[in-house]
Amino acid sequence: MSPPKLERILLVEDDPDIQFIARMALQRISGYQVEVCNNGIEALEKLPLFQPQMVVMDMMMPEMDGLTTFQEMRKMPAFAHLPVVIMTAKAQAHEIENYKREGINDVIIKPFEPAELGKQLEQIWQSIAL
Amino acid sequence: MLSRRLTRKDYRVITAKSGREALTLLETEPIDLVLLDLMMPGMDGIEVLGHIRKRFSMAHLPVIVVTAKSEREHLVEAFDAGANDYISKPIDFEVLLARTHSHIEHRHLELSLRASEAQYRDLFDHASDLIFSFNAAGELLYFNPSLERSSGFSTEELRQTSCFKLFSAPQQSWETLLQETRRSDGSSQLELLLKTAKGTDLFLEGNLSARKRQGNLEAYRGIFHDISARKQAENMKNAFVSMVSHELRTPLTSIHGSLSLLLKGLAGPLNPDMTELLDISHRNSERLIFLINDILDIEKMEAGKMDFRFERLSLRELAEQALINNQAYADQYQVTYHLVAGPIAAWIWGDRERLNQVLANLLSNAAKFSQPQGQVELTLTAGEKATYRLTVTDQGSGIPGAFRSQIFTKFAQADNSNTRSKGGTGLGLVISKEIIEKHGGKLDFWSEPGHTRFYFDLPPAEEK
Repeated sequence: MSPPKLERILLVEDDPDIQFIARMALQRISGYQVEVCNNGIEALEKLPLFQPQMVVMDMMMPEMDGLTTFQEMRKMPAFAHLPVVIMTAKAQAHEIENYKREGINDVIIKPFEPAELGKQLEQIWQSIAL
Repeated sequence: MLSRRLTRKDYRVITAKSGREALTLLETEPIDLVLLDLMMPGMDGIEVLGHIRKRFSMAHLPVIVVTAKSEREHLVEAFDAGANDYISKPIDFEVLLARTHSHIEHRHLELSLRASEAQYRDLFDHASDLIFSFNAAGELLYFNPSLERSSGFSTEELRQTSCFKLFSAPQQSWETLLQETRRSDGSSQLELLLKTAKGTDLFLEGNLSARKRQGNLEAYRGIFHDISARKQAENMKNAFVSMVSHELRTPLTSIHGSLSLLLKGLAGPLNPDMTELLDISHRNSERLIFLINDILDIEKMEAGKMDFRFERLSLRELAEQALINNQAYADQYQVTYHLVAGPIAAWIWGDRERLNQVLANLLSNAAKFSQPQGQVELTLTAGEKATYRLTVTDQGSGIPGAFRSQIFTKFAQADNSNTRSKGGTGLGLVISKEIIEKHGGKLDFWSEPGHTRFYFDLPPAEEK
């Protein structure tokens, strides 16, 4: 059985400009269904309602940062294995390694290329399905 | 008579008829040695000697007492009072001459030693560097006033403080530090923290060395200077650069992303002028991103924080991939890349991302400085000393002779106008060289008009 297609993505990002760009790229170029949250707390509330297949999340956010949100998500049985991709402008090799050790599936470095974003997520999706 | 014979031997002799007269003469005349008869009218010799020693030390003014044979007790008394030597009556002139000569020599030696000691002491006392020595148990043996000033501890307190508590090494234990010190020649610079009386830490930089005698350790010596101010400035600079770079990335993400989506036609169709203008903005936002990345890399490099994830890689595969990745860039300059490589995988131990960065830098430079329709070759061969070598060769105009020595200098560009016409930060090669060196390899170049080669050698991965 082939894995289900990637369709629903939850985008967690506090910068409204980047929200707009990422949403446009993911919806209009790649045709994903995208819901946007402004911070980690909102994201945790949104998860059961939207039931995303993947979470794409900024690292540095007010209220609750990406890593904490991720750790909280992992405590929720329904989302303990949900693929999570972190977007960050601070991307040193050892930081990326740390994120991956924590269980984050992949890291996208800002500035990202919006035209490529959907393709990148699709690749990550495929590699997780394998 | 004695006076005359001594004068004949080139000594200047001044005769005093009494102890009192002698003492007066000593005040006014530059005297090197005193011949003192113990038996004199008025003040006796012992008393005169007592007065002399109050003013002059034995080293400064040697005194030879002249005694009769019967005066044995006086002789002991005279030595107690500070006589350097004696001669018995009747005086054997040759012996007197020999002793006089010896004492004067000795005096000169002693005085020059003291002068030299005073010189060293003066430097030691007034050095702003912290100079100290300590034994294997960590007890401070010697230290200069600078250590007292910097630490805020008194001489007494320092004598009772263990050197191992006063100082600490930020990266290692004292044990390993001393081990290394005993093995080394003491020339390597290291950093220590000094815990001051106020409880704050001072950053010191300097060196430790071991003083040995016949292979046995006598003491350790340390010469350090306070670099706290520099440390503070460095930390501020690092934090500033990292903050600025990070804060720049967020707005750039929006600018670059918006332009990119516009160019894709997501906001509607574009006419050629719109496309051209958007393309210019897009390319330049990309340049800004590269610049920030390079500045961050240089920053990490200088702070020693550039980290690497090493894995077993095929240099050939890396080269093939690099040509694909960078072709779009070469297209801008109508340049074509070719790979020339034998059927070898060329396994090395490396960081994929970092080596891609080096190849992208060398390939983009080669394309940038090629003529349109130019060819750039990427060649995989054997390098020096059983290494693999990748060479990027272009047919551009070559690197100007005067610029060759600066090519690995930060922000160096052959022609400042190139910065504008060709893009680039002048940081790429500096970073590339560092990356290759961190791989245990070396990066260099060779250039003449119409033919420039940049190459790096990497050691092969060991077979497992």
